[in-house]
Amino acid sequence: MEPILKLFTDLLPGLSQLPYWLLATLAALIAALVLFGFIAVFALFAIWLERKISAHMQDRLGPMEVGGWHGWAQTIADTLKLLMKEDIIPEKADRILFKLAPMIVFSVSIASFVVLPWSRDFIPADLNVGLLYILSISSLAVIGILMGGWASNNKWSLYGAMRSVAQIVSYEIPISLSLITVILITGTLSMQGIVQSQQGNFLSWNIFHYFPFMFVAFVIYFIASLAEVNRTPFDLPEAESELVAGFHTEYSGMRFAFFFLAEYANMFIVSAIAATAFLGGWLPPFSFLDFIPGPFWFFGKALFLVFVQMWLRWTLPRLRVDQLMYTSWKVLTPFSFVLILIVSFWQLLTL
Amino acid sequence: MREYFKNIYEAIVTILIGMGVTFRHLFVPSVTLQYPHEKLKLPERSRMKLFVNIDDCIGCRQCERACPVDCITIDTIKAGKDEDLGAASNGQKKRFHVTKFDIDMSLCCFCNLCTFPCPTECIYMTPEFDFATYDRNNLIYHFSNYTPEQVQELKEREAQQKAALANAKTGKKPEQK
Amino acid sequence: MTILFYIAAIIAIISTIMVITRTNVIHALLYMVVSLLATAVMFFLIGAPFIAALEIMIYAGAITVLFVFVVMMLNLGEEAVKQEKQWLSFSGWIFPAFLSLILLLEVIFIISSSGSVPISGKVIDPKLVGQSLFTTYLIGVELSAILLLAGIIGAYHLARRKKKVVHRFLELEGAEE
Repeated sequence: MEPILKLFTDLLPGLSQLPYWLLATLAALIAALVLFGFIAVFALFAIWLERKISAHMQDRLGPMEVGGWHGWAQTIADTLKLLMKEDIIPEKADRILFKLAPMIVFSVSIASFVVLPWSRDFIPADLNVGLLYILSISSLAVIGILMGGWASNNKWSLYGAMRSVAQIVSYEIPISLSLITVILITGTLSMQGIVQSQQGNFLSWNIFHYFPFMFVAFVIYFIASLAEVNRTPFDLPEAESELVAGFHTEYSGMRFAFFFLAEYANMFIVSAIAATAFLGGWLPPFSFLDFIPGPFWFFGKALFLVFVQMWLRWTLPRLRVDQLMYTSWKVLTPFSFVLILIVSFWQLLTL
Repeated sequence: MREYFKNIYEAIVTILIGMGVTFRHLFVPSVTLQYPHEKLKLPERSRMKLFVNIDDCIGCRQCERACPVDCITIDTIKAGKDEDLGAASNGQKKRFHVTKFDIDMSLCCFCNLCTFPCPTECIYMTPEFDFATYDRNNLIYHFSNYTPEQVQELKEREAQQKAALANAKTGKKPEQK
Repeated sequence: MTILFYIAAIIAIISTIMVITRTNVIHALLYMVVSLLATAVMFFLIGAPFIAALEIMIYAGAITVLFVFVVMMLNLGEEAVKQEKQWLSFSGWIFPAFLSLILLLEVIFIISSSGSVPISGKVIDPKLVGQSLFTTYLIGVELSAILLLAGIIGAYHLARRKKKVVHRFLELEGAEE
């Protein structure tokens, strides 16, 4: 926060006379608006990118008409269409909860953007428990999904919500455990601290530390994070053919757009956390490349991981819910426990 | 226990193979035809929209009778004894003025049954398929090339002939007694 | 700093009152989530960010979800709401509220008589928490680990599928199951 405040007072010197709390609130508001703008633009871009990538992987073209060059304005057209749709609330649905659910899910997604380290100076809030904060906020999204499923007064939505909650809660454990291996190596929970400890060229990134164990930790984290954001192969909660779109069946128009936006924002967040914790955040792979600013590297790494997520979506079929639970509890969790043991022993023995 | 590890190993290997396939397909050129700009050329004898070469039609109305959904409507007026309407392309003499030849394409079921009875093969199916319009009445195709005045004139002549014939009959009747 | 604490405290108190007065169970649970979040904010304010994040993760993210699951499975209908309203009548809560009021007055007296200490705001690093857990409070950690182990074994036993006992003559037939 301090660097942002310094930026503001440098640009407009008159602002430093305002009391601290007002200045901090204004700076926070502006940072929040910038982040929200980024999320909206990123979601639009990511939806277009997904449609194009999925199309080319299936030997077809994807959107080509709207906007001229390869249909880049397609998502804008879709958003306008969603905005103009009729807002249907089922009669027996719990109105307040129905309206509140997308807001909670979306605000939880935005709240996680606060601790992402874009560069050495730009991080909205460098909490000293940054990583733990993100894990705890993402478990609040569960409440929003449950509300959405329950308030729709529709048994398919309820099943979808229950399955989604069970999935998210089960996969939180491998995520936390694989991030614990990173914390063991780094010794700090603060996001900037984790990035700073990977200084040097790309071989000092956490993914290459204690080779090959941290690589396995990265793979476990990546698979578990796919389940956190309800992406294929773990997208049973929102599967079109199984549960009639699961917990967001009854949502139309802008409310559905909120859920969708939250899903793509979540994809970016988990990729960004993986980039920070395992791939070195805003650090360039070679130190002579550091004239390219930090946010470019950070965004590039996160975008690459988002691409891998999309790649997996169009390669794999969906897992059944018992296979999903099997993978989490019987494969990922034991492996991550063993990894923690190995990493801590290695660290102790080489201390 | 061995099966457990074997399962995990197989899962990872097959996922990677699948990912390789999809990645390769990213670079395969797509097979999509961008429809309004590029169209697929259909074979010449594709059974799409009907077409009538009205200069060859001899007005036999066989196609009207053959159509299972009654989408063809034909009105003919018999030519006079001394009127020469010319011949069709296969040499048959045309004996009827074909004043109305309407095909309702929205009714047509593209079964091709009307093309077989035609003696001169003037009705046939063309490979043109994109004839959608905004108004349903535009789907009724009028193939006859007689102007309304000509049709009116021919109809009056026919009515006169009929009246003359009727008069002749009533005139003859008292004689037969 | 102190005003943030008071705001969070008031929100916590109001949402807890809403928890116990709502007749719709899901609404009550969601107010509990709000109350837990307010408590987490208070933890942040007194300089214990580690505990605050853990509290959100465990309480609001897992325990409340467990409650909501159970309530949704039970599917209490309209009768439950009526029953709640009946139980929440004036004669039901007046006496416990009176006793709690006496306790509250005692606590206020004790707190106010010991002099107010401003919120120091010194942030406790997670490293310090970890160090004190594994040196000073080691017994607590080990005991809670044993308790959790007992819970896990109990859950495993409850969810175990009983092995079907097949007579040895039937086994030789090579049954597949």
